[in-house]
Amino acid sequence: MSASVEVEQPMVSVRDVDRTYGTGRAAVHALRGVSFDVAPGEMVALVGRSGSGKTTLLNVVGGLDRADAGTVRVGGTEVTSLDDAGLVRLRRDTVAFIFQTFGLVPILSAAENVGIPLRLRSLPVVDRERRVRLLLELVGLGTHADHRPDELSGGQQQRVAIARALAGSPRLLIADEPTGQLDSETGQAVMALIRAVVEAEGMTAIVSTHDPVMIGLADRAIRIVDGRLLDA
Amino acid sequence: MSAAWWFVVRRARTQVAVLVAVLVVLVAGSTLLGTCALLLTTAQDDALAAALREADPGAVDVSASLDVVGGDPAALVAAAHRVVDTTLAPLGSTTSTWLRSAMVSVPGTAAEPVRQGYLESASDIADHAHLTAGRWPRAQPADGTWETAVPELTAQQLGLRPGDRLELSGAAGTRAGTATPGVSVVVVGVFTPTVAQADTWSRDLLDGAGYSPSWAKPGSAGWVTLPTYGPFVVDPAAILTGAAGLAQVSLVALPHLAAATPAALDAVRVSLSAGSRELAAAAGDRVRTSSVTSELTRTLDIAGSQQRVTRSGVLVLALMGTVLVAAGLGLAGQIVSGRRRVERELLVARGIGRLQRVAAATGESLVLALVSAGIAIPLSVALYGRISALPLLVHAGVTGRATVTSALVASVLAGSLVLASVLVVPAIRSTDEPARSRSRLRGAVARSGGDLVLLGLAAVSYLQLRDHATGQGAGVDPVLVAAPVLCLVAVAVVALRVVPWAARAAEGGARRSRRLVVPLAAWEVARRPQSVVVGLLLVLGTAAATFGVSFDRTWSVSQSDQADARIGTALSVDLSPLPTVAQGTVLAGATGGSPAPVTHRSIGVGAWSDSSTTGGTGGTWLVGVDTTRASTLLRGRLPGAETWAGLTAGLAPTAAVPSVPIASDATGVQLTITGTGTGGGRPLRVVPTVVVQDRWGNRSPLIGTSVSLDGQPHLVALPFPPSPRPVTGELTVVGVGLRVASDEAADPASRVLSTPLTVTTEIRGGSRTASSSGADWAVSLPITSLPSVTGATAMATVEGGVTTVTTEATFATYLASVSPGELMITPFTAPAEVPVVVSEDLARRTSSGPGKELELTIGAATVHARVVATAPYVPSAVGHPAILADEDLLSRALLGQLEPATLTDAWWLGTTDVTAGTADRVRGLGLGEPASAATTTDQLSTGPLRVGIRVALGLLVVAAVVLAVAGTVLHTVASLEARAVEVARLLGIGIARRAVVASLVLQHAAVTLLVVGAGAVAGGVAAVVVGPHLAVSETGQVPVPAPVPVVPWAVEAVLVGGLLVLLTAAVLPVAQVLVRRAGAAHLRLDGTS
Repeated sequence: MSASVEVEQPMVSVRDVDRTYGTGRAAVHALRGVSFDVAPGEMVALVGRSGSGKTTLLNVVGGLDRADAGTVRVGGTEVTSLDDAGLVRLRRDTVAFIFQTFGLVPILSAAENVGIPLRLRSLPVVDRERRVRLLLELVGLGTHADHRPDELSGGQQQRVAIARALAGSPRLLIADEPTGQLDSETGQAVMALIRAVVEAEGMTAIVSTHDPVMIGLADRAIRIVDGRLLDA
Repeated sequence: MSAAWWFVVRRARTQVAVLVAVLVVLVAGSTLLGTCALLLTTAQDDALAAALREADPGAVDVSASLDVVGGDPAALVAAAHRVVDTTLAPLGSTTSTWLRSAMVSVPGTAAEPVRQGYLESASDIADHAHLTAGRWPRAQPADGTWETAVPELTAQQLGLRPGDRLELSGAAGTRAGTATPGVSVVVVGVFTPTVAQADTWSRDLLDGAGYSPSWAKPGSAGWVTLPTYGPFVVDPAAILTGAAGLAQVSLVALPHLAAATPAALDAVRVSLSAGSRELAAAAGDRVRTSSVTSELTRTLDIAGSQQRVTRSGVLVLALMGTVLVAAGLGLAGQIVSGRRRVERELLVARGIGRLQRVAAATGESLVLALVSAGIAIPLSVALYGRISALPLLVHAGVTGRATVTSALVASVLAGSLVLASVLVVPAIRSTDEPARSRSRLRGAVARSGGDLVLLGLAAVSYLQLRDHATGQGAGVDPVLVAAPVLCLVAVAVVALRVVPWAARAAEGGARRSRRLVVPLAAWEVARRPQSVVVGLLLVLGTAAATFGVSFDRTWSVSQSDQADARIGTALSVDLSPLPTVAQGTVLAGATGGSPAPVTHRSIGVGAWSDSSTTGGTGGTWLVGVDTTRASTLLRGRLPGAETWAGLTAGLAPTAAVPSVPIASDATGVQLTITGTGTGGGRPLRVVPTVVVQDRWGNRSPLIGTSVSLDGQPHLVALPFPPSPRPVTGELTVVGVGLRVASDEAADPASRVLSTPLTVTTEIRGGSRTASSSGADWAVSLPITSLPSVTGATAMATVEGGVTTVTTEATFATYLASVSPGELMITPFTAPAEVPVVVSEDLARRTSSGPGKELELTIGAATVHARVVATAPYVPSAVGHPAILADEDLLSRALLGQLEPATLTDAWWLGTTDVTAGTADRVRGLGLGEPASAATTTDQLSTGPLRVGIRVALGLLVVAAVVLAVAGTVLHTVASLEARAVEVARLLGIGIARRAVVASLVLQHAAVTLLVVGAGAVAGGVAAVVVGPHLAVSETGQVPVPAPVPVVPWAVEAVLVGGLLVLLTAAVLPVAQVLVRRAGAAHLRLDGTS
């Protein structure tokens, strides 16, 4: 009798990734031989100082940037071998970003911003509007649907960004210092929200931060210094 | 180097790309101004020279005329030459000299016992006549006999042939009692005058006719007339050596205008004003009268007026171009300001004040302006060189090479400085945010108020333009220059304000869509605050381009309309005063068309029945045409659906004139006159005149010789004048005039008070059947209170091809000295009145309208006319009070007034008669200089003094398109660079690059469509409303007919469509490049959303 052991595949698998900007003496080695895995449903905090390579690593994982060497797998798909169209599909169907600067389109209302991923999938208008309403209520902004970004506070804008990230039902949520532009209290609230929706939606999350309080909310933390991981 | 300069230089190094873009716009604007400056100066000077080169010699030559009474003839002629040469010294000239002798006696015959003639020498006779036999006379007399050449008619009448000798004995001189010695001549040549230059033969006593049956005998004060022959063309020495005596000196000097400078022309203008005085002083008491006359001053005045009008037009377009460039620089300034926002905030934070910022910006602008001027000056010269090689300017003869002139340098430098000052404006603005908010609020209020002020100014300037009498003063017309620009800018600004409203309509559709790309573009259009400056640039650019295209068409059509109205028909040949009996046939043969004889002369007009309304109005033009052919003959646009055929319906007689055909093989009219009547114991004498009509309707008199009414039949031959083509078989007799007089040898003591008069005239008509019967013939007598002929009746019979008209009357011999013994016998009854159409200004002046009667004084005759309609103008008599009548009816009325002279002043060929090359063939006939509507249109549209407007229009359209495209690219680059973070966010969300590019291009295309559409509407409105008021005549007056706006829809559609495609196409690569560059790095650059 043979027993088969089912090993759960990691949601994110990064192996020996290098990323260098510039050439020659001006070259900046943003990532050097970075390798780590993130299990499905896990929320990982990526910790490091400014310029340590956090954003570069997140962009490489999310397909916004390309690694010079090494491989990145997301949900079993090798991101490093995808062409532009494949990367677009990845960002549209699998990965969602939350940016430090919120990343909202300034001329669109909160509801319209949240609706963008749904429009990319050509969801019927009625279904789209229902889901947008739901997501805005989820992040506590049901009454601010028609407000434009410049009519919202920083915390509210980031909550809209979270709602937009969730709109496409991504399997991986990448948040790049989502509380970097928020005060401590608001930052905690936003982080708690991310923690809550990740658990509720069963998604995987990588959140870069250098705030110890935020790190405490993650399942584990990965430290990066000068493009190298210390304790992956 | 100061800190400020160090900073400016360092900043320029790092922002070299954007500064180059600004410099390009600045150079484009300065080059446009420089080229316009060359069009206003160099091109205008070249144009004046070209116009004078092409001018009719009669319009520029200088005539000196002396009526000689004594002195040394050679010295007098030399003195006259000196005056003329001095007058034209600044230009140089070529002078032709015509000398005429006093009257000499020509050997008589039994029928013409007393005749007179005159000698003439003309230095350029060979240019104005062609020999039909022999050669021109030579200088040296042989055996004391002078060689002479005589006109064809003189030779015909006197029976002269080359080799014949003639003794021209002394006759009464030009001054009573002065005898002149005789001269022997031998005929060596016979010639026919040509009329290459219409006025040439007006210098001859008989206008080149060669014969007059009754020319005043010198010293008789016109009471005694004699048959007169000449000129006997001889060498000048024959007249100057005193053999016959010098009576008249006529010098015509043609100035050398090919290289005329404005200064030389001004000097000649001054000299001409004193020319007559100088000539009189030089001639002294050797002349009775002397004068120096020239049309040169008037020609220069007209040219100056045309130049002013063209300059105004070019300035209008240059000003429009300047506004466009200013908008482009405003945009560039805004972009530069946007780039420097952070840096400015930093500087302000470090304590740099507004004054220092303005000083730095001013210095930078100054450098840019100087660099721009340095580039624009040679560029303007090069561009002008390319423009002057265009077929339009080559055709106009304006092909002079441009050089760097002070006007060019001044205009480019001033333009660069003014335009560059726009770049200083951003530095003046406050950087303090609350202050900027207040400033924005104030700006919005100010803009609203500014819009209203601009609209108000535009409305006022439009009213000024509409009511403005242009073409006044010596300078450029400020109203003509400023008003169109104000109107265009105002309409463009209003159109720009409408764009956001139209954009918001797109929002609803975006909300209802399930997709992203198009709705995103729609949201961008509706919600993104668009740059007012780039909007203004695009609206103005499109408006200027569409206005330029429409105005060009409106202007061109107006020139064509003016040419049509001015010429009156497709092709007109104004005749010199030569016989016209065969000209219709000659013209028809050369052109294959149906020429129409036309009356075109100045007449007197007075109220007929209502003397209280007006007195006479001299200077009224009478135009008589065959109105049954009005639809093809008359040209000139009428308002609404009116046509010349409709307007002139009812002017023509209902039936053709009955007439007596002349034998097809005849070379003249043969009359046999038999009559009785005595006075002073001797038979009366009668001079018959036959009025013949050709198949084209032209009527001309043939004057016979005097015959005695002695009861015997006298054969009178009235030969047709020489003609290059036979005219036989086409002529008919429509009237016979009789001038009755006592025999000169009659004894006054034996005279009776009155005598019965019977004259029988037989007209030999060949084998053809006469179309008149005896009952048709009528007799017309002079209208006078003391008629010398009364009780006249006429009876005609036709038998065997001979029409015999017997006239009976009573002749009061005692009244012969105060009332001419004339009567006119015609196969029709002369009309009591002639229906006419009058021009509106004549109707106003004479308070006449339909139904009113007018009295027309034509020569010595008076015709009663009744107004049946008014017209805005009469073709070929634009600018004058004028009357349009039917040529046939007018001629009949004049024959009824005993006026047999031809009414034909010109021949017209209608639209269907004129083909390519017609004018050249007509010119080759030597009948007169043809004037065609097509050539006149060409002169008005693309003549040297007019072509500048069309070139400037072309420049404006090109500059508008180039600036619009350049501005769009500049703006797109700047705005997309500013939105790089936003583009990166969209890519991060999962939108494909292609979709982002599509959205950006769609957004841009939509904005472009709205703005270009608004610009097209603005340009169209400006062209329709303002265009007609700018299309002034060549002298700056309101054109006749009034211009109508013309919008070439197809061309406009191509222009607007092309502009849309071009602007959108220009954005596509920019969007592609910038979207490709947008990446993850941008997501960390901006902290604001």
